[in-house]
Order: sequence, then C-alpha cells, then structure tokens
Amino acid sequence: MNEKLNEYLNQVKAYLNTSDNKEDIIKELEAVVLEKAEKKYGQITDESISKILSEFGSPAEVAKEYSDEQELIDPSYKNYIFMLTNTFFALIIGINLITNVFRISFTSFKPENLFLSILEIIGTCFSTYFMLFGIICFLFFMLTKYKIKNIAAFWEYKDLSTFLAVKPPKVGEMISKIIFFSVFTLFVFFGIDAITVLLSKSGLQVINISDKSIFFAFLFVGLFDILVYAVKFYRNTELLDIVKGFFDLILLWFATIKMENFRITDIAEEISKGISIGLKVAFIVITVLVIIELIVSILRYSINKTKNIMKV
Amino acid sequence: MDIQSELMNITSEMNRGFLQLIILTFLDVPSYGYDIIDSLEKIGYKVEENTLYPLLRRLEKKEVLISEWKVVDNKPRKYYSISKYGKELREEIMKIWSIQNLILQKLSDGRKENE
Repeated sequence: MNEKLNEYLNQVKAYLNTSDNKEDIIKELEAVVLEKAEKKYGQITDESISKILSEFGSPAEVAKEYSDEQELIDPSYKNYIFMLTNTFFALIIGINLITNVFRISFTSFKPENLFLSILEIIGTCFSTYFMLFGIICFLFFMLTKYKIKNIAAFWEYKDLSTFLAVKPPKVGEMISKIIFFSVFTLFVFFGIDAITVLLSKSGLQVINISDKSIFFAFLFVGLFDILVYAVKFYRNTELLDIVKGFFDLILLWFATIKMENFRITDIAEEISKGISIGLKVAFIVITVLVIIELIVSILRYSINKTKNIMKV
Repeated sequence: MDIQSELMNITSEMNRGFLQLIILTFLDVPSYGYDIIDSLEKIGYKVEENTLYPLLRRLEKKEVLISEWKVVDNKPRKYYSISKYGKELREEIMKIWSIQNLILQKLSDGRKENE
C-alpha cells in the first residue's frame, strides 16, 4: 500500500471512537481513496493520493464523522492528557523529594514509622495524580467546548521532533547500564554494611543506621532497573522507561524519608557538614537526572503516538 | 444576521434528512460509495465523502441498509443496498414527506389568496 495512505489510515484508526468495526471502516476508506485517485487523476500515484487525502481533510476530522457521538473531550487530545498528567506528576514528586532532601538533618534522630511513610507516599501520589488528571481533563474539556485546535503545533519543530524520536536501544549502552546497576546493587547489598563494620572497628561510628529499609529501597531501584534494561532487549517501549522512572522516583522519595534515621557522629563538625551536604547534593542530582529522563520518556511515548497528526 | 450563513445552517439541517431519503431511494439497486457520489452529482446533488460514508455505515448499523464486499476489476468495493426493513421505513418517510409537502402547499396557497 502507498506509504502516505497507510500513514493516513493508521491515524484515522487511532482517532476512531466507535463501536463499529474499525478494520472495515479503514478498508472501505482505502478502497474509496484509491478508486477516487484513479478515476479523478487517471492513475494511482503518490501525488494523486496526496491530492485526494487533502480533499478528505485531516484524519481527526474524518474519524470524527465516524464517531458514535460528540465526546466531552476530543479524542485527538487523549495522548496529551496522558502526557501532561504524567509530566506534572513527575515534577511534583520531584519537588516533594527535593524538599525532603533539604529537610534531612543528619545530626538529630527522628525515627519514622515504616508503615506511615509508605502510607504517606501512597496517599500523596493518589491525591496528586487524580487532582492533576481532573484539572487537565477540565482544560481539554474547555478546549473541546470552545473548539480550540492545533495545540500540538510544537511537534512540528524539527529539532524537538528528532530529539524525541524513539530510537532503537543501543546494545553497548544497555549492557553498561545493567553492569552499572548490578555494581550499584551489590554495593548496596554488601558494601554499606562492610564500610560500617570497618569504620566501627577503627573506632569511628560515622553513620549510625537504625533502620535498614532505606537500603532495601536502593536495592529495589537497582534490581528493578536491571530488570527493565534486560526486558528492553526483547521489547523496547517507552512505557517501560516511564514505569521505571516513577518507580525510581517513589523509592527515592521513600529513601529521603528514611534518611532521617541516619546520624553522622563521632567526627568533627566540618566533616559532618561536608558529608551531609555531599549526600544531599548527590540525592538532588540523582533526582533531577531521574526526572529529566522520565519526562523525556513521557514526551517520547506521547510523540510516538501523535507524531503523525501534524504531518498530513 | 448574515443571510448566507443562516441559509447554510438551514440547508445543512434540511439536507440531513433529505440525504437519507435519497440514499434509501437510490439503493434499490446495490451500489458503492464512489458510484453513489458520482451518480448524485450528475443529477445536481453534491455530497461529500465524509458525510456519505459515515451515513451509509450508520444506516447499515440500524439494519436499514445491507452491505457486501465485492471485487470488481481487481478493486475491492463495498456495495450497499436497501434492506426489507429499509424499504418499509422508506414508505413511511415518503408518507411523512408527502404530508409535509401538502401542508406547505396549502400554506403557500393560503398566503397567495390573502395577498
């Protein structure tokens, strides 16, 4: 089939919101376009098909004619709802996380209840996500009501589109990431304990750990990331990166809450301050990197779904 | 108020029902979309593809029309024709249309007498 026609029909199919047989609608549209191109322009060529398609209108408009009823929110917005809700959600979790990092005091001990910490994270995540979803749905409801279109014109910027295009995974990059997270996981599993024992033997009890759940959080981050990169060899989808990004962020958030159980003792105040600032900076840098990667994944996933809208 | 835009609105509303009646009348003989558009255009009735095809499907869903895929000259075409139920429905619509026509005629005649 002609590539342009195929692309057009795929977009129409993506926009179709009907209980009718979508395959049959697409099959009929294909037959109609080819027949019209031949009868009107003498032969089926890229040019004649393009002319017929431009007469038909945009895929979203064509799909709308086949849709069962007027939607409260235009179906062409559905990817933007996902994109914006998740992007803002990632940003809010990130801000929460960084705020927590600033709050950590390595000198005073404030025990946090594990159950309450988990409950707090789950509660905040749910309420934030549904609040954002509601606001964004309302926004698109208004856009639909007042027929404001073409909000996605920024997809047309070539540089952005190239940057956000989904690329096949690079084997070297994936292997190096798996190795990095394996080392990270092994270090978390064996290293921290070993260092603590070593420091205790030398008379310095630098870090006092009274709750090891934080290590399990890091352990989960490492193991989950290894799993995701391994799965990506078989199926490369941005959805996996999005799940990984949110999982990492939530566990990092949990870790910042549990960091309250750390105490830096038995050393000079300047060194203690240095370690404390170093840990905080490391946390913030990791958080920012995870958020950037997550938002890029969300945009890539959404652009992959919507990238053809503006082309035709 | 702009008479042209108002006229377009009214025409569009009137055409909605009229097109259905035309389709029900035309499809006594099975035909496919392009042929319907072409034939109607030849007798002075222009209909857009984006209007006709969804309408054909809606009528098919309501069992007013039936359809069948056929390959003619190596081209797949979906042929539509009126169903038994469609024919009964068409008779009723024609009655309503005749009554409406009659009412309009009487009103028009009455107005002329008053003038």
